Amino acid sequence: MGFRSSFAAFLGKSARWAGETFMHRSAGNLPGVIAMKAAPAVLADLSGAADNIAVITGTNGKTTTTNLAADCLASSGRPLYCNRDGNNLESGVVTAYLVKPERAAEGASSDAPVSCFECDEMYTRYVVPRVKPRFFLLLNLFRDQLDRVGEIEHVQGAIAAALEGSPDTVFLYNGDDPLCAAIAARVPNRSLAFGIACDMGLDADRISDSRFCQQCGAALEYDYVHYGQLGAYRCPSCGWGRPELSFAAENVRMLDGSLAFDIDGHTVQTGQTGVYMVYNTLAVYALSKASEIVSFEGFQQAVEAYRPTNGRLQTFRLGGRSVMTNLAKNPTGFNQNIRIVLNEGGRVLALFVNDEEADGCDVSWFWDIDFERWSQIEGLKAFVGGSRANDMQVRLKYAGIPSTIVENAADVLAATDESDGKVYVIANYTALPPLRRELEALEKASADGCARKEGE
Amino acid sequence: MKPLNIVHLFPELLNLYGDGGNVIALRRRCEWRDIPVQVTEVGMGDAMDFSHADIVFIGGGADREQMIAKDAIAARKAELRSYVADNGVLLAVCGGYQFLGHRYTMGDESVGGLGIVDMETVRGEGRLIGNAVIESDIASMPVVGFENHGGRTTLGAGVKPLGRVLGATHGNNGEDGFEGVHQGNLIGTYLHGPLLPKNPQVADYLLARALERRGESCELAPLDDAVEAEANRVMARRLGVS
Repeated sequence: MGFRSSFAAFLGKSARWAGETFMHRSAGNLPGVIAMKAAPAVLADLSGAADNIAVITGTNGKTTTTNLAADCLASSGRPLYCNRDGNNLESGVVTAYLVKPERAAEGASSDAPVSCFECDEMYTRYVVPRVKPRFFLLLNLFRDQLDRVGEIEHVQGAIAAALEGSPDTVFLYNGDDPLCAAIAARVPNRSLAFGIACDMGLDADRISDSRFCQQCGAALEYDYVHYGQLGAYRCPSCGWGRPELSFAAENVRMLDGSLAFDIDGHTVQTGQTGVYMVYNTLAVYALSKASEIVSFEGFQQAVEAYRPTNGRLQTFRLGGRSVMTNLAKNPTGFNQNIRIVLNEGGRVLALFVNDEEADGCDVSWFWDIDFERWSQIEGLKAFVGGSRANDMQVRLKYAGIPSTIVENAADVLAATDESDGKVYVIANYTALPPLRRELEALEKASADGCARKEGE
Repeated sequence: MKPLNIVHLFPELLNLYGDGGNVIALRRRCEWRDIPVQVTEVGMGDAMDFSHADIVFIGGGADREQMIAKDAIAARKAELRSYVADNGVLLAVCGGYQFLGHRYTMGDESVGGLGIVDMETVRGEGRLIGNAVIESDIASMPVVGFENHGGRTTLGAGVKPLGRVLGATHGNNGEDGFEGVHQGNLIGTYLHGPLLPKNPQVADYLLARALERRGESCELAPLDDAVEAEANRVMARRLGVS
């Protein structure tokens, strides 16, 4: 590492130390921001510190998949650098190298550190060429934040540029997504596809991103659609279609609160729900197998032990009540949550949507969500909150669902009772963390209350 | 009564900013009033028949999808022109709106439009993005929405806009203070949001014109629009208009 990068890393580490020592909190992105100010290309030097296994991107599921992949890599016992908190710009990746690597177990065959990072789609073009990971994992591409990120073609261009800037990186992508497969078709990198090779019998979403051939523009034909534009597709006009799957999940079973699928003669089981968790888990399986540093047992244990703590599919117990929170920040994410609620027979729904910078300030995508599917639920109680609560209330009204505006989760709990069953709190990017903190506090208060009662 | 026929052109291609919500709003507002209504979705390769249309809706799409839709619509240019000339009700948003003029810009290329409205769109520096509010003579409430366009549209002399921008709203081109177009029973606009749910007066304006054209009473039964009006008021107030 040159003097400039060493000095930059020193400044960044100092910022982290100062934050932790004097402010008693994590310095967030700041160490990376400071280091990059001192040496803009510092990441290229820092990345030499590890065997960089993967950079992970995609519209939906980045943070969950990165954490799951990190758990698997950590099972090898090697020290690990990872931006688990979802700080996914270049500065977040730099910050991850400036903290002490995590180490799950002693006695690994090697002490050489490994890394895996989540990266924002548009920043992959800077991060991937500097980190030069062995694998670049692309989960999916859906429309998201048009006002900030732009149309999907721009995202595809950024990802292709990332791969072109790191020609030895293997592109591991969702072959069920024509928008991902189109990138594999245009870059020189070696590529491997994963996908779900069986029909799950799901109805197609009303609005989908391109179900049109990425090569010639003709309407694609599908043997089956899983959701959005994901499925087994083929172009009747030019013959382009879903690539051969190097990692194919079969016999997918959606169970109550869990799911299972078969792959390569193994059965994979997770304590998570939702079709998109099949993809997230499958992607981590593919990465574990292709990287050859994680055993199937290590992968399976990590998947079984995985418990989200960031509000994604997290369940809170408040006395006799149960509250599930999940993130949804675009139509596809919401449609997935709609299915989860229908599968589980949920009747209390609370949707919180903000329009801060990180959320995007255009909320027209509410109208691309199939809320009409909820209108048949008997005894449904719907609540809306966040800075765009009024817009959501209008959307639900036109889906045939009357709703009440609330401030927070406590309002929802006060307006319902145990007989209404589990409460589903679905929130977008900036709306989720305060709700999670509120529910954590309520859960703690409820547990303390129970403990006091037992002590009386 | 024959159902009011809402024709939605290429919903699978021109569906970028939730603009299909306009069709949902028109349909629901008929259903709530017991006005028989049907939505006809015209896809690629489907026949386009405007003779049975009461309201035609054209949304906007991503560049790629808009390219695919462009040729299909251009092939039916004559039918669409005669529908508009016959006072047919048409709502076109963003890409669909630009398409109504003589020329517009697609990527870096200037493309011929339908020539239904005397207007032109050229590419400008940067995109005009943000929450938007305008005043229009078809609504007593402000009309709110969200604009996100790279094209700059200029109306020909004497062509009436949908309204005048308020606050920091950019409108057609960020310069002349106009937003959209309103010509006979045709409305073109850059406003997403989508436009009609939070501007129920604009939705009802289109429904009334469609009924009137069929020779039926255009007196619409009043609806409880408290939820819509509140969402409209919250946004208008946020943009400094009350």
